Amino acid sequence: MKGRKTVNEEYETEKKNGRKWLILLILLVLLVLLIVLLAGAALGVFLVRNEEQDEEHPDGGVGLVLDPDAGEASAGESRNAKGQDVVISGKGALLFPVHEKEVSVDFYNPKENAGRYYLTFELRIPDQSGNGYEVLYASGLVEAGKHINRITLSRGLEKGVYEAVIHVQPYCMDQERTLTNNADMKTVLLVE
Amino acid sequence: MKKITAVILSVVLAAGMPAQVSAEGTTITQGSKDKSGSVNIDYYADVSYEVTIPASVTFTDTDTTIERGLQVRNVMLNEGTSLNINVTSRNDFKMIYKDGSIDYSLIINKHARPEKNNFNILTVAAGERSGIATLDFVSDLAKAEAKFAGKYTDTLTFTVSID
Repeated sequence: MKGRKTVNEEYETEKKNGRKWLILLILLVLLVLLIVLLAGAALGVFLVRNEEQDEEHPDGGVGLVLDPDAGEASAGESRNAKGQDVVISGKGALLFPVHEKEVSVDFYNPKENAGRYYLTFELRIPDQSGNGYEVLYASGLVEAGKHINRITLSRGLEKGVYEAVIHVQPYCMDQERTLTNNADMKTVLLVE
Repeated sequence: MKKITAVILSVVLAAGMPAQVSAEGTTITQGSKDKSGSVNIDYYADVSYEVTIPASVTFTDTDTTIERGLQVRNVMLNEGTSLNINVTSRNDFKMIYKDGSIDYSLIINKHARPEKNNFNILTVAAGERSGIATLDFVSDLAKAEAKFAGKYTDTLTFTVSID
């Protein structure tokens, strides 16, 4: 019976083939488990790092681009530009009637100050001690381009010549109404 | 024909009317010997001026010398007088915050340095319409005796007088 496998030989061959497939299957399962484990570990590390980053920068840096406005420091330049100048207009002598409280003046905020400065005006004369001054009138904020032409003094004045000062105080048109440098305009006040 | 007559009559009447020119109450008629009149035209130029001052000056760590200007324009003065502008510092040229202070200097027209308050920085004589002065603000911030963080300030008053 040469050339023909016996029943036993065929059984042995099938058994061997079956083992091979089993080993291959086990190896495949192990490989899949290993991949799953590695992927899990990688995901864990990513999530931990992401969580740490979120605490510092909730939005991360994704999507950010270089800011085109960034450049060398120049904050001082803008704060000292010519636009930070204020224009103040002055006139000659003031003429008031004797004992009159309602008088005419021309207190003006030039239109060049538009959008930047309000002005206030205070009319002062020397007080009786000669060391200080008495305020005869104090205005509120005057907008650029506007005049005050009629004022009411705190009291009427006796006939005479007074060395008056018109104190002009500019205020920035910001929320704080910041006071700036100011001007005193010495003026002769004639009362007759 | 009627139209032509009307035109001729109008021309004849107009030529025959005495011409009248009224000037400052003077009436000149065809019969007046003096046929000239005068009109006074006047304008009173009030004393006036416009001063432009630096409203604020801001030092920074990199900006320790700041050039600004003081300008006077549209000046109209009585003959023989002059417009003078002096400067006074509230804190004697120191910027102050709480107990600390920072010195600074004001240099006028690149050479004059006020050593006292109420220093003259510009004079404009009658007849001149404008004037300008250069103001250099200088502070050695590295040597400053600033104690605390905060805004150190001073205020300048520009006094304008006609003398």
